[in-house]
Amino acid sequence: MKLKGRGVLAVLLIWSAVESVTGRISEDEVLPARRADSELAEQIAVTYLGDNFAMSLVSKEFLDFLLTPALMVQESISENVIITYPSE
Amino acid sequence: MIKKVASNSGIAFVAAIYGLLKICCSDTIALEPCGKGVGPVEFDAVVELNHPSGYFSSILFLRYWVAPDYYHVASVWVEPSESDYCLPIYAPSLYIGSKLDSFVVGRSVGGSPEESFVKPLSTRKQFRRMLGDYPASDLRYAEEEAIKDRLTVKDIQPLRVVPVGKSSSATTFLLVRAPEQQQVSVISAVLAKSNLQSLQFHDGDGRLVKSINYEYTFNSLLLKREIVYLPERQFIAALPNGNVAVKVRGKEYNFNSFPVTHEIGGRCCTIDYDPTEIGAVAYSLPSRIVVRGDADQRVIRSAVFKHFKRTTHSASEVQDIARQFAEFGSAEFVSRMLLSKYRKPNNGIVCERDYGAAQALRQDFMRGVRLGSLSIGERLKKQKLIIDLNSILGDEEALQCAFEDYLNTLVESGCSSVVPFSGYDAMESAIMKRRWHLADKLVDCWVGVVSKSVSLEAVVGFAKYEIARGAGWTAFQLLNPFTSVGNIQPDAQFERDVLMCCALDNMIRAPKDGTSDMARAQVDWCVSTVQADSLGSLLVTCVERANESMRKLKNLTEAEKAYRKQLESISHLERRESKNPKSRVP
Repeated sequence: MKLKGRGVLAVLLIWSAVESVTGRISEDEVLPARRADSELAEQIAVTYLGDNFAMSLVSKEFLDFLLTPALMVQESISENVIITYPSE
Repeated sequence: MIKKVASNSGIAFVAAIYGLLKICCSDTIALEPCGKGVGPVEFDAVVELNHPSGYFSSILFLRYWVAPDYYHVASVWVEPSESDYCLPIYAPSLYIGSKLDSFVVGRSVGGSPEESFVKPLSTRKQFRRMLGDYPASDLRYAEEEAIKDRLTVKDIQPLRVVPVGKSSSATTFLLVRAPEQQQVSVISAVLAKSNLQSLQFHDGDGRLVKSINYEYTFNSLLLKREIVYLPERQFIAALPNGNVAVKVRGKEYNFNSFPVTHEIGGRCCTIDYDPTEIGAVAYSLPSRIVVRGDADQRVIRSAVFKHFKRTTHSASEVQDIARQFAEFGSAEFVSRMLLSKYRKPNNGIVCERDYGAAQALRQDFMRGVRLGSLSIGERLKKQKLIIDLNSILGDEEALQCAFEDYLNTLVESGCSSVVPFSGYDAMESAIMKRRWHLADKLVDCWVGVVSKSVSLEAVVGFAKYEIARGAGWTAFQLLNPFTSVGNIQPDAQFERDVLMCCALDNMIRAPKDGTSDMARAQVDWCVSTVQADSLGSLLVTCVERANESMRKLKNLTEAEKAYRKQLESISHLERRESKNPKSRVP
């Protein structure tokens, strides 16, 4: 039993020695840095392209609004339809 | 929790639940506000759109035909007609038709053939529109999304009713809809008797989609107002194609989709209802929608409904009438063709055949305007065409009269906000054709109407835009009448005065090369009216006035500090050049 325990300890010591020699870093240390870089990259992409989408979202808001009078009056003249407000 | 509320509320609460269940299960529904069987109606709407930049507004003139199972929209006209920056398409002649089995959209002007989509319509896929692009055919998704959220009394019946609270006069219920059934899955309703006081719609994740508060007339019979809050919405938009690559610390990251926010800050909508008589019965119908940004309460878009009447035509007749109403007639098409042919300066030479055609068309449109049976949109369209035809014919006197009539129609119909932009097209045409005498006459008329009907704030916004694109002489003349207007706040005074200095400075120190045709034409126009020396002394007067306005300000904002810097730079150059007048450009 003692022999078996010593064997396990020896394997762990050898493994840690190999790790320190090869300089491999654990995943826990790597991931936050990678995540920060990918987030930064995404932030840069959004900063440069976000306004381009925003322009079309303004167009969408305005053009969709042309349907609102029709949809509102349709609610008001349709029996049993509860008058709400169309989502735009 | 629910049991506790129920036990505490006693008999009144049980009665309220019974009332709601009775409302939901009965064939004769009394829940308000609920649509009434009015029959098919026709009405006009004036829609105003204010661009988030604050510089541009567009006013659209539309006619609607609406029945419970169809609607048709005809866009008659838009102001300003040549410089509409709010919409992604040329709106005049836009036709939208929606029936139970189809959705149709198209324009007779602008080279967009009619597109028809069979219902049920597909749902919108990922948003892939960029740089202001948003085709009219995407309107079908907007309809689909709106109809999906529509709530009928029958929809409520299968909902699970969960009472959650009670005040002295109203009971709150949660109406839970199966998440896969609709986008909106939870509705919270406050009822007082059979009148809804408020509704809240939440999506499957519990996020608020919209909330509505209702107000009724004093006898609680008719709906008077709805106040709707639409929170801003986040979703993922994607590039139309390809990826964008971003390199960080030598590693490349590729992106195709991005989180975007629609209607930033949310929207606060007020919908007024007026008793409207149709067939001798008064129905509560919407009369006005005003949508404001939640943060600054600035009006972003609005619609005014007018001239409701019941339509007696069949559904297919209405469709034809709507299409025809939206379309440009053959005379209007020919006028547009002539205008595009003679838009550019060509020494005023018009071939004999075109001259005769332009004269006949002008007569035809003038007869139409005199009839008086036209809607405002139709009237403005014809008046604008008359101006253009007069320009082609070189009839300056008739052009001035038509221009004045057109501006007055805009003001009288409550469209003052677009007068600066709308009137500008005719003037710009005269300036570009170097007809200085005509340009002076038109600008006098335009400035006269603008100074009486438009606020200084709106004029300043327009002037900034014009100075930026080189039209300094127009901007100066537009701002000038406001120097004699009293009751102007010191900050507005300072902004006005600095802009006048910038406008004049542009005229005096305009670079000879690299400027636009418009900027060069503006300098030539300015020099045709004012001597170079007089221009210099005019600038000195303006700088003195701006300095005086600045002294009235206690603390300068960042924007005002930037204006001060500009002013200092202008006065420094003016002092230096006044010693050497020959260095001036004009």
